[in-house]
Amino acid sequence: MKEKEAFFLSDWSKLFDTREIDLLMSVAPNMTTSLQGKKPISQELAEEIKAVASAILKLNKIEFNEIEDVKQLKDLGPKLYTGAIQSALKESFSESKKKKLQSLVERMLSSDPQSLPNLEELRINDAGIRASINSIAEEINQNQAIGTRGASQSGLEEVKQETATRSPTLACLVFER
Amino acid sequence: MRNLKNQEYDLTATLFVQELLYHPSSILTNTFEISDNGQQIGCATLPYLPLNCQLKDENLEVFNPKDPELIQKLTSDALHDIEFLWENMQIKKIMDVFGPERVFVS
Repeated sequence: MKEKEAFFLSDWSKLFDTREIDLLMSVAPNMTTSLQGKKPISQELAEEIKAVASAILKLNKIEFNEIEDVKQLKDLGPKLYTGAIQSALKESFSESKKKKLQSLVERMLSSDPQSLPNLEELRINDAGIRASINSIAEEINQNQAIGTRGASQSGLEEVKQETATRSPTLACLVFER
Repeated sequence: MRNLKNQEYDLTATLFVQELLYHPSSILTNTFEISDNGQQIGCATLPYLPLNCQLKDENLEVFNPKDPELIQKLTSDALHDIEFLWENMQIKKIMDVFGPERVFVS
């Protein structure tokens, strides 16, 4: 079953808070700015790369905030920060087969932008996995056809009831005005 | 104020649908619907769970966080989405809300 696992970032609307809406509304519809289509480099995504590494630590029950606190201590320099990261990672990724991963996570957390891994290093070829997910979706769409619905107000309720007893999840957005 | 609410509504609904369009293979297309005068938008998807649910419940293992292959997959997939949002949607402050609670596994 493991080959089916895929990870994704969800709840895009949560990426904004209301203070940014005016700005976003003026930027979002105009998708012809010079930045669109420009591939980012790892230095531009340094904070995001660090956030991914921090999430990995959190999942391994290592508190990244404590390591960050070390970084804030003046006169101690980046060496102690690096040492704190290495020591924390050693606990979770000490086995030999995990050494490569330990080193990668270490570099993802590096305070030196030049030490960050490039985005190619962070990518894996998952064409096979994506193909597998596509085939599962197709199978569910065929076998669990819930039926075409009109715009009836009770439709979502029916979906909620049906999905409660089946495997799919319900993605739903409800507005209150 | 009303305009802001409308803008909020438009933006939230737009992002919700854009997110669904980004994951076409996970959506059970025939279940998508807009109802209640546009107040509800929803559809059924393939099952998924937020990663942070195993932080809350020790007995629930959504995935093994010590498995190097899965961690690499998590890194690759999360950065794939971040790059997409950065490059195509011009969303730059992703790290402000990024954490296990925003990452899901299917």
